[in-house]
Amino acid sequence: MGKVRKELLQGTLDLLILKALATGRMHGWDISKRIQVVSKDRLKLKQGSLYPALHRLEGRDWIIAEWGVSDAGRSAKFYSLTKKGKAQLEEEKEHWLSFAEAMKSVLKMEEQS
Amino acid sequence: METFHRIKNWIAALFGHLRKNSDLEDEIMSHIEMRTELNIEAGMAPDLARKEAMRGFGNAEALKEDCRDSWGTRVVMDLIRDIGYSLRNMRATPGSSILVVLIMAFGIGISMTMFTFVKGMLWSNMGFPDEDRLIDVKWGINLKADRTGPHPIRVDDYLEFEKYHRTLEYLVGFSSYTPGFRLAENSDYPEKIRGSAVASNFFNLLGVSALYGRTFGPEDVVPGGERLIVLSYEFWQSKFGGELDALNATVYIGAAPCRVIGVMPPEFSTFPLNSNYWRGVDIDTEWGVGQPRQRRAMLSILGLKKEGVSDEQVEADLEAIAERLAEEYPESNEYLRDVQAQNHGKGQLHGEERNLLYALLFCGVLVLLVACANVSNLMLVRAARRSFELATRNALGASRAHIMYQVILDSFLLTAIGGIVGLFVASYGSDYIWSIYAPLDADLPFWWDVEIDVATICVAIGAMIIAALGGSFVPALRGARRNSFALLRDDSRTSSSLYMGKLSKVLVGLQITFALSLTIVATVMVLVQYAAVSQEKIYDRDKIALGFLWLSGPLYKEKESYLSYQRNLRERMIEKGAENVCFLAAGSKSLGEVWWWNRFEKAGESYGDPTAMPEASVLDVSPEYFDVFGFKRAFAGRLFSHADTEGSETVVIVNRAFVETHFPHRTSPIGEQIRVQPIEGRESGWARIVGIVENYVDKPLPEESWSDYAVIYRPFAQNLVPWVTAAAKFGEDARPWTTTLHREMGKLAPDNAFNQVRSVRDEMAFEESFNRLIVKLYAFFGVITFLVASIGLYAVVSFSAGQRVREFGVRMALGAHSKDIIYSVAKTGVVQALAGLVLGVLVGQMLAQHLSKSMNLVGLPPVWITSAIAVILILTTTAISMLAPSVKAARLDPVKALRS
Repeated sequence: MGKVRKELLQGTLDLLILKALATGRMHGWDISKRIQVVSKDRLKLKQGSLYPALHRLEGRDWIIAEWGVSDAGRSAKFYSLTKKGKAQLEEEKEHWLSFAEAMKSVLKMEEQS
Repeated sequence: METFHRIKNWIAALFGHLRKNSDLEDEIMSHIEMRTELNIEAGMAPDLARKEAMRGFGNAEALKEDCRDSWGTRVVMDLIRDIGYSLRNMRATPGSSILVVLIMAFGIGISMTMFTFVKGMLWSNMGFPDEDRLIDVKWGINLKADRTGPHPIRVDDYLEFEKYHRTLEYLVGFSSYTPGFRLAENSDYPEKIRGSAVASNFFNLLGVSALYGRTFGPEDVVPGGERLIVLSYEFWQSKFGGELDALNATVYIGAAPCRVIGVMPPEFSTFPLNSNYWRGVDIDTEWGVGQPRQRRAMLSILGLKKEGVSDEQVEADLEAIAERLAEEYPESNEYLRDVQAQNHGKGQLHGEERNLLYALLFCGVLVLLVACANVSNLMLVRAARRSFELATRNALGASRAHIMYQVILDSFLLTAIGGIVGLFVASYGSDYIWSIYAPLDADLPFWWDVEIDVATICVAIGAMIIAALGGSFVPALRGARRNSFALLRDDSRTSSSLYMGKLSKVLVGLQITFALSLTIVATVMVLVQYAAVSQEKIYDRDKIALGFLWLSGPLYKEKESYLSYQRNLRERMIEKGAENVCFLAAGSKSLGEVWWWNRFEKAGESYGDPTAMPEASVLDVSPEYFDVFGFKRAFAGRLFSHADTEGSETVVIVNRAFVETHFPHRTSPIGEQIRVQPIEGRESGWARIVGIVENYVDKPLPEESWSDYAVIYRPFAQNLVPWVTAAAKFGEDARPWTTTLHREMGKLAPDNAFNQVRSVRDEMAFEESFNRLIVKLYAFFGVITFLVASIGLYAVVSFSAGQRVREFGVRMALGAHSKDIIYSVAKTGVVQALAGLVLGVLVGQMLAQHLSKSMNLVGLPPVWITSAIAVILILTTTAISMLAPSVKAARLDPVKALRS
């Protein structure tokens, strides 16, 4: 399985960020690393998309940001999920899973030839 | 929800944009540093590690833009940037910017002052729960078409109305008076405090309750019972220091003890007619039922309509009762069949006064229009100046919409600054006008609220938006339409598009039209009032002092004591130094001239309809009147003497205007019988004309005839009324004597009511205060219009001349003389200005005619005079404002001009 195509990633960026933050508060760099690791390098978030997405989600009150100190002792901006964000994550997850399920069924359809 | 977030973000952006920006910077830095560390850990040199981290991060500026987009603040930030740009643009062109602000400040300031003034007087609420249904009830012979005016309602008639009405919830009679008021029985000198004697259901009608204590109702006011009063909040504060001990205190009104039972809340104020207290009156015992009909009290009446009932239905209801009374009591009521019901709040100003206020508002709008035309012209000039810049922007890809937006924003900012200044002007202006007017009118309705409020600010914002759009839309359109390539290719600054365009000239024409119309109206108003004030009278206004009093109690009820009061006052005043003293049955309004327009009958003639009877003013006077008011003798017959009393033959004296109007074919009407229609309910029989006196003015005002000055004089002793004006003539200025007269009037009747004593001149000034104020306002309008118009004209001509500096340089280098240049500048827009002149005269005269008709103005000056004055004023202003820039242009040094 190669790298996921960019356009797919775009559509699911919010979901990926919310899911990553569901595991705990983390800063931007952490989020992109975590997604990369969990997806076994198949998903790579570019900073150019990550930060605008974080700011957008913050504007919608799905996540909140606060400055803190990282494990390495460096000051960083940490994001965490709000209650609204959790609900949104559930909703998007549901939506995505049912979509994936549907896609899977269609793609597994026996071909007539 | 999405919208909510957007708005929230915008607001946050306005206040926290900078903080957010630095936050983002820090976040990016922290990201890059983390990566740098990782690179170093992987074995890279620090410099390279950092470079690599930055390269890996990508375009940070683009990321920042994307983040700002996600904050949803781009629109606001763009707006702030554009505003910043416009402000820089203003700084670059301070002259025209200041002019636009100034003109808008004038336009908004004046129009909003007028709006505040008119709104306060016409559209303020009283604050009663059912004020829409609260009406004044008046009656008369033919109120809608008659100048004889309403007749006060006698208590008997009021009781009939009160008993039989069907369309009202309440009908309440009241009478405002100013008796002596004492806090304790033994206070030696009572104060004159204005109060109202009201029917017992007064408070039920208004639906208001007391702040402390209680009000009274019909159950409290019984024959022979205790007299109860309720105090106004202000009066309670000033007389009782706001102490609750005031409740149940006994005070003395006249000589009678009254118990205070309540204090009204401050917002109830002093209704009606500035009362300080309200006393419940038992009508049967106190208001003269049982006394001879002609001696009974006269009342004002308020009513509360039932829900859904119209004024006309109330009128029809009460007119049916009036009809019956007219048949039952033909002696006093025969012609009193016309009833008028009018909302109390709206009825405070009569039709003519309302029209005057509307006219003022209209003039305010005209000033705003002049200002708009000016601003529009200046915006054209500004857009023309920027045409090179706008064309460059266009060439670089700015859309037409964006260019228009830039020009309109420019106008909005200038207008907004001007408008805010204008609102301050309006706030001070309306306060100032009110501070002149309010002290002059003792009966000022308490609910008139002449102050800038939210409604005024909303209207001002609306006016600003319209003015800004109106002023900039066309310039914006022209700015955006300009052919940028042609303009950029054309290096010369004399490019045709920079001239004062046709539109600009049309605007100058329009401005002249508005300004001229306003000037004509202002001139007419000022001249009309001047004619009235300067009309020659046969007496000296400065040498007569007038004191108005309302007699009550035994002094009035016993005729002998009434007449002896007059005799005593006269003797004492003459002792003190007065030349003579007379008495007139006249309210202060009459000034001893026109009392009451009334109809009369001539013996031997029959009139089918009362409105067909002839009219004259009627004045009841004591024999000394003719001496005091400068009538030297009778032309024919005799003057009155003290022998003309109630017991003797009923007689009248008429003036020459009366004879010319009503007996034009007779050599002398002496001996003729006439009968005046009842005045104020006083019956009057046939009277014989015994004398003819001269007219009290030297000539009628323009457009008036002698018929407007016809007077019937009746002997005071034959027509006794409780209100009387004492007039004392002195050999010198009467002003210093007014205190003496006041004191003597008070000494002789300590329990009675007196108003301010004034000289005739001061009294006239007081009575005319409303009209004088209006005239001042019109004159003010005239001046402001000139100012705005001349500033505007100067600016347009001077800026357009400024744009042609190089052209002038070329022309002068080629041999043109200074006068050619002056001519060339001055002729700018002359045709349009002339068209504006003609149109302005036409519109102005039409307006003036319409106004004078709707306001019943007399003494209108001839059309050509007002037109000539206005045209000369406008031409002078125009010439001055055009001359300066023309001369400046002609003085240019051609070499410098070409280099510019």
